Amino acid sequence: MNRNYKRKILYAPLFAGMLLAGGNTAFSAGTKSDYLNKINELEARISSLETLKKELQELKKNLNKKTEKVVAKEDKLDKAIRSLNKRTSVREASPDSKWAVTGYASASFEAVSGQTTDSFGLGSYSPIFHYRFKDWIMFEAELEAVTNDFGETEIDLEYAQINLMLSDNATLVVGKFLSPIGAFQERLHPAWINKSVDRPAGLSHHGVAPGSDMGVMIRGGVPVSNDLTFQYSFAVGNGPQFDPGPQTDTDFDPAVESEIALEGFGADNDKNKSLAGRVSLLHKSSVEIGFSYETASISGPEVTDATMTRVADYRLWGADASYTKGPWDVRFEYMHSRATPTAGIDMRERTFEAWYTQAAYRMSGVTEDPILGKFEPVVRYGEYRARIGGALMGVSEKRWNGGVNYWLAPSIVVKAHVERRNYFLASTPDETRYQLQFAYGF
Amino acid sequence: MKIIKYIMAVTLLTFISAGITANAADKKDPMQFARGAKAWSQNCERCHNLRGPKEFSDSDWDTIVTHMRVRANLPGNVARDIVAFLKGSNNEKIK
Repeated sequence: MNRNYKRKILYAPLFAGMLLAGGNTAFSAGTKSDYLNKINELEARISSLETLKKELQELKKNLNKKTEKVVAKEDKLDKAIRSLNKRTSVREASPDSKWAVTGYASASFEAVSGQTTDSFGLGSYSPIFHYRFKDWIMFEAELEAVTNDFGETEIDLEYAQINLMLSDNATLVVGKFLSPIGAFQERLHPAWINKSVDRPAGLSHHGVAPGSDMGVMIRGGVPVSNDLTFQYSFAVGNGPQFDPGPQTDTDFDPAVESEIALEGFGADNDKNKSLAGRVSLLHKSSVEIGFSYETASISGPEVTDATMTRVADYRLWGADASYTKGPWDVRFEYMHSRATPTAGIDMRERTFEAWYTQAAYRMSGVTEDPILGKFEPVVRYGEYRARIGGALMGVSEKRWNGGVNYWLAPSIVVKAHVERRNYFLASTPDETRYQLQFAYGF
Repeated sequence: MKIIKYIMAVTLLTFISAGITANAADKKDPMQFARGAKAWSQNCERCHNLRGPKEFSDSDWDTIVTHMRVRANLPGNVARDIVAFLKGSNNEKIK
């Protein structure tokens, strides 16, 4: 019935067309056979479409059956995964308190030109202990253990600080912390991060800038745009102190020329706090530019009567820049500090100036060879000038470093370097140091 | 004394801002892993070689990245993205 009905529907317009085309005249024999052929053709097409429809219905049925099977299997898998997750969560519980020990260690060998000895040395062993409660507070402390030239072990507390995450953009730091001044001292000094064996000239513990301070610091990063992040660290601390040692105007000992003690003191010897900070802009192209500043008053015992008094005003400023993308690590840092005697204090002005520039390139940038790609040539040049009363001191130098690093792992490196120290004063003989170092960050 | 007053004011403002900006990103975010991978490659290399996700466990990464958040002045949301990437890449466990 259905087929006949369709046929009638098809025939109706055809006959209507014929009537309109032919009017009352009779169909010619040729035209009639043409129409019959067309009708047969249409019937054949309808037949094939109906066959196709049946096939599609069959496919749909099969698909539905298969979908039901897949859903059933998914349910089974979900149950299995949930069961596994229960076991995993028991094994990998995520407690509120977590801790970790990281750090770094190094061992080295150094031969110095003009000296009759050369030495193996334990550069340092510096464990860092981190204790974290949830994601808003962390205590961390770094110890530095070294063996000195006389075989004695010296242990220093590099920093011990409590970090309180106030918001995504601000962390409050309390305790003894690494000075936020510059980039090298705070971030780049660990042996496995430092591209050379030694620190740059003037950026050691007794150089141009403080290594650490005791106090309170607020720091963080604030996205300025999709491409740019502003970073800041502002610290208030006990600040530097002055220790005149054996020095007087008439009896000056160059060996103690840097006796403005910059390391973090556990107590302040005056009521003047130091104010230090660094701000930087970090671009997504891996370029970072930073500026540092510190101001402090330095007190110390007067040479004449040993009473504690404010002896100098200390000012430091510095700038640093870096480009660290892919195999490249290019850096520059400059720092200048000045201790100006307070009026009435019989002390000479001290100025310290240090800068260095460095370039390192991992060969993985140009070769896929698993051995060659781990080499990293490094070159660094820097200068350090220390002046007391305008006179250049013996430690002032130009320093060249050149060498090759081989990375056994991302934090394990062997360094082979040559360091050339050209001192500004003829009284200090120049040195060439041949250095090997193994450093491991863990 | 002026300095101390300034610091107290800044600290107070920071506490207030903490309430405003605090961790809105704790919801499940399907793009966090991808953002974390990008942030990991962009930020860690600023100072040192990239450390592989498999070097540490989930718990260690929580602690270590918090340390790096402070040291490198990373915004908190960026640090969380990096943790998500590292923890999602350090083994093949079923999540």
